[in-house]
Amino acid sequence: MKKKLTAFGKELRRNSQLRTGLILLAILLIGAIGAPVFATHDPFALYDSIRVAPGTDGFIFGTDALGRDIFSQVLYGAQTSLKIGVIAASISAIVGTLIGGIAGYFGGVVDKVIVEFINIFVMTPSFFLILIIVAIYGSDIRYVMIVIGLTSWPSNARLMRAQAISLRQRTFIKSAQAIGVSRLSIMFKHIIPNGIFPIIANTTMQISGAILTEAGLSFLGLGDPNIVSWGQMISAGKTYLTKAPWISAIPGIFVVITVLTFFLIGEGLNRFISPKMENNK
Amino acid sequence: MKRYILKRVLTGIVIVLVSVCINFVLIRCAPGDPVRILAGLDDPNEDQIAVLTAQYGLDKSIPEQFVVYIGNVLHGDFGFSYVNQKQVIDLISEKVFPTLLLSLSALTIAVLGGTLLGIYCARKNGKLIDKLMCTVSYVFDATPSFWLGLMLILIFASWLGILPTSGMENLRGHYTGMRRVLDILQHLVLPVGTLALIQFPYYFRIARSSVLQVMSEDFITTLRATGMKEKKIFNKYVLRNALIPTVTILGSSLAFLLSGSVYIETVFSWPGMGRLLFDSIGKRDYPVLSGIYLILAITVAVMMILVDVVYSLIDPRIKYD
Amino acid sequence: MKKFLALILALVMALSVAACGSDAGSSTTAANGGETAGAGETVGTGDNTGSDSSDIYGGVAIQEGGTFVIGASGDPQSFNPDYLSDDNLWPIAQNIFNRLVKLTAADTVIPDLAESWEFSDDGMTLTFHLREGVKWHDGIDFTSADVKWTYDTIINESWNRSTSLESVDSIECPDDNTVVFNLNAADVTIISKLGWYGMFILPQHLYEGQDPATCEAATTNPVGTGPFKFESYENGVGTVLVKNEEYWGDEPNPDELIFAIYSDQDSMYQAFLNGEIDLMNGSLPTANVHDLDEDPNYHVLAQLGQNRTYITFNFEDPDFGKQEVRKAVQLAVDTQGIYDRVGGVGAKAEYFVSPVQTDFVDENYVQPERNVEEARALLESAGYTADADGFYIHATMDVFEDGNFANIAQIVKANLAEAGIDITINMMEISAWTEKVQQNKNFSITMLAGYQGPDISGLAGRIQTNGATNLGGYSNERVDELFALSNVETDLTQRAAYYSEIQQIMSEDIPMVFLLDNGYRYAIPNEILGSPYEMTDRAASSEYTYLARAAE
Repeated sequence: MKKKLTAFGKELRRNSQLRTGLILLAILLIGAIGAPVFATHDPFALYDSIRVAPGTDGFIFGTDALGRDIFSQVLYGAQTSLKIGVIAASISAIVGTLIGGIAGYFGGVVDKVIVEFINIFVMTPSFFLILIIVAIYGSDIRYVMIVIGLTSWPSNARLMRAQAISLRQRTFIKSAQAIGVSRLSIMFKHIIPNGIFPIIANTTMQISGAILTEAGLSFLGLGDPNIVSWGQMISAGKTYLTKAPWISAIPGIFVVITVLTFFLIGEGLNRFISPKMENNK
Repeated sequence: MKRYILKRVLTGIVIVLVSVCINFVLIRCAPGDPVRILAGLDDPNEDQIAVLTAQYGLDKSIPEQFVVYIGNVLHGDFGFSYVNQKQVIDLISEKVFPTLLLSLSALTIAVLGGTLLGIYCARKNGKLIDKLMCTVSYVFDATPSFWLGLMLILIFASWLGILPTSGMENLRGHYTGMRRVLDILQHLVLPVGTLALIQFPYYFRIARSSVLQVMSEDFITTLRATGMKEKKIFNKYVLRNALIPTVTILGSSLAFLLSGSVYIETVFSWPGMGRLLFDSIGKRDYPVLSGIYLILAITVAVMMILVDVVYSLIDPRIKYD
Repeated sequence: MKKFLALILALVMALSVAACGSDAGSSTTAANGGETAGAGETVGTGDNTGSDSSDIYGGVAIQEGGTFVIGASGDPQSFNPDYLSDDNLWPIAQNIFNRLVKLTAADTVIPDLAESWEFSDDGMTLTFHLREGVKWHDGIDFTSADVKWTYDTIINESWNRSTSLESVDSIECPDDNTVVFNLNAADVTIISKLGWYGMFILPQHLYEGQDPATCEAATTNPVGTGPFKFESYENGVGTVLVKNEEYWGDEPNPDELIFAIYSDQDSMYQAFLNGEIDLMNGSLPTANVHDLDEDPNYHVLAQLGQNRTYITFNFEDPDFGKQEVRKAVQLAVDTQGIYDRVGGVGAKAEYFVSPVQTDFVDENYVQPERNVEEARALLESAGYTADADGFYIHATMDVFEDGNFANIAQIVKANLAEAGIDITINMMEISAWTEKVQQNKNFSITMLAGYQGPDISGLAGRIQTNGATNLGGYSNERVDELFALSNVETDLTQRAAYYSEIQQIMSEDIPMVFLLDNGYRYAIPNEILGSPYEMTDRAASSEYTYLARAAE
């Protein structure tokens, strides 16, 4: 373990993407978790200063059309974005790992069926599916996370399948089989833990994707009105673009930073896994 | 090879059918009734609602409707749009051109620009310009297209006033011929610019990393050892091999671009398919939704198959010839 | 249909017309530019435009002709203006087609194809005298048969506004220029309904035996009798109309009229500011409603609509079925705040009937000033106790996406939270909302707005037992009785007295909490003259016959 940590420390010194990403992530986490502490105002409260510019009346980032404090909304919006990104990507990772692991390890007919099943999902224009489902069945944030998760698992499944296929040839798996360990137990104890690394990297990237998708849905008016979200803030500010550009501009900058953070971490992890392939995405 | 293609096409057809079926059921089971919207929601005319429901066959069960729909589609009849009161196929063909114009222009710029920059930066690997471009590409990759669009409108249309805010053409001018082309081009600048900026990082990084990868391959080292000129190695061997990944992903990116068009068309009031789809969801225009989805599913499937075929055609050993 | 403005004066108009026969008709004819209606129409209007233009435009000289671009909000469904409910065709239709009478931007009804009309003494027969010498755009003569065919078809084939013609028993055409409506019940409101939605006269010779939505006349070649002829239409881009040189009324000034489509209000407004369009059809977007107030290049016209945004409750709901809870909501809502925050357009909601109904507003009954403490006290006295978060009640409010609803819902949520009512907003598409709330009554609390007919009696639809938009199932026998009494009452004072009592009961029962009286603001560039918002004595609400640029 200690060895691994030292290796990781070394990697951090070398791998600037991972380093920058983790630093940004730390800042984001502090902001999101500490939102109740750092927030200068109640993000839902309506103040009498309506649409004031950043820095006016003690509103660091100004206020929006209804008189809500943008700075506090940005902090609470970070919670939303991180939550959506992590949960949606986790759903995708779990589903993808299981399906890919089963296909790759069990092989045979099971594999063939699952591969075609994955193909169906890959060939489905998933964005349109998400759009239709969210528009028609409601914009509750829970649906949004689940739908994003359930439409983005195929890439994880493909990665896990490839890992499982290569792992099952290895001697330690073969010897476990020889001593009669059950197939399921091998899958959960050996295949998945040993093959998980590329999925972690890919999932980190998917966090970015999920955050962008949620922001986009909110922009189209399909956000959950009961939470603070950066996408909704951009959307609400659209009408005031020329008069109060900060309403849209500020949350947008935070979307970029957050997406960038997970992107850098994902890229950094990828480089860590396969150092030879510079930027292999 | 033929058998492989045939198999891919057959599975492609099955996949499209399954996916269209799922979509059909999803849409039809949704709450909301298109006829009520046509008849007006404020003071619904129940008589007209009954007449139209029967006329559009919406009084039939969903499986029955699906059978009728598939039957019609096989005869080339994509249905009748309730909201636009015209054939779906006519409606979609009107909207396809603006969307393709937008998407393909952006794709061309993103691919050319991204790839050239990527190759350039790979040769300057580690230098300041390379680091700078890498950072820029990450930032644009992380930028939501609709937000970038808004910011560009703010800067170029509202503050500087040098480009039109939205729309595809200036109707007042009654431009014809070359003048009309110029007018449309002017309206294209901001939406295409937005899409291209969002897309280029993808091609930039692929080009850059594949050039770097090929340059580190053993056969290049061997070539170098033979004393071949660096420039010749690069142009003749590196470039050719490095462009293969770009070519193979082009297909799938077109489908991605079509999805992304919903945002851009919303921000720029562009009269395309993305906007049509979004409006049709709100109005429950079932035939249009199914029609667009079907066409997209087919496009994606065809692209994927083409990519697979192209990929298998380009023998990996190409590197060594 | 939110854009439809109140027809306040319609009833009064109709009554006065019934009383004075053709006087109203001829007075408007005079306003139209001369008493010379008849065979010499074209010559007459030609003369008039010259001599009258200074009158029409308040003495300002104009540039003749020109192309005008109007911002439109979407694609028309078809070019049949009577078949479906089509808000996007509505402004365009008013320039291609005519009705018997037309509704102006000031909510008055003025003659259109009907020069005059009169009711029989028993009120059961309504006779229209049509203009002579009117031709369809294809050169065929317009006659009373077209009118009869149009309305018969609307009724028989259940076209969109067949409900407006429920009192029509049969239609007769004694001669080419006379149409007689035989009614099954006295109905003075029919005149205003004929001037409204879905009542345009269509050419029988092109429509008869054809599909109402896909025939040539409804798609590629609409033919009307109106001031402009259809030229072309491009999906998602716009509709082009050209001047009807043979128009029977005042000569249209624009040579060409373009309705350019913008998929959203914000981009339309940007295009308007950039001069890409001359006029927006409709109000300034809520967000920008006061932007141009101080701008010397524009003048802004304000109008209060008969259109109120309100909260309504499900009377079956265990919480909101209680009067105390509804009262608490009423006390907790900050109507002044709503007015201020959603843009300061319209008016703060105070009364129990629309403030536009000046004859009927009883100022004794107003919604109470905001008082959060009293609201909390009411909830406690009703037996509610606050949970750990300080909330007495948790509820979901179903809201559909429409204009300022999203913003108002956010404000209501914040307001009610202060009084201990936790609201979860369920934002839905209108079609899903209709099914959940309007059809299945599966809701606790919801928001609604909209116009419901010109007459004060439109309120009945919202609060009488089984009213069409009485979503929550409110029912009060006395209210039903008062509506019945007032509907047959012709004496204004007595009618107002009935409505006073209705307002009193509303203030006690609180079937709804009014949030905002919606209003409209129209911005007109200074060089643009003759907009329908200003030509309220002669133009329909979106008719651009008089649009002109000031001479330089």
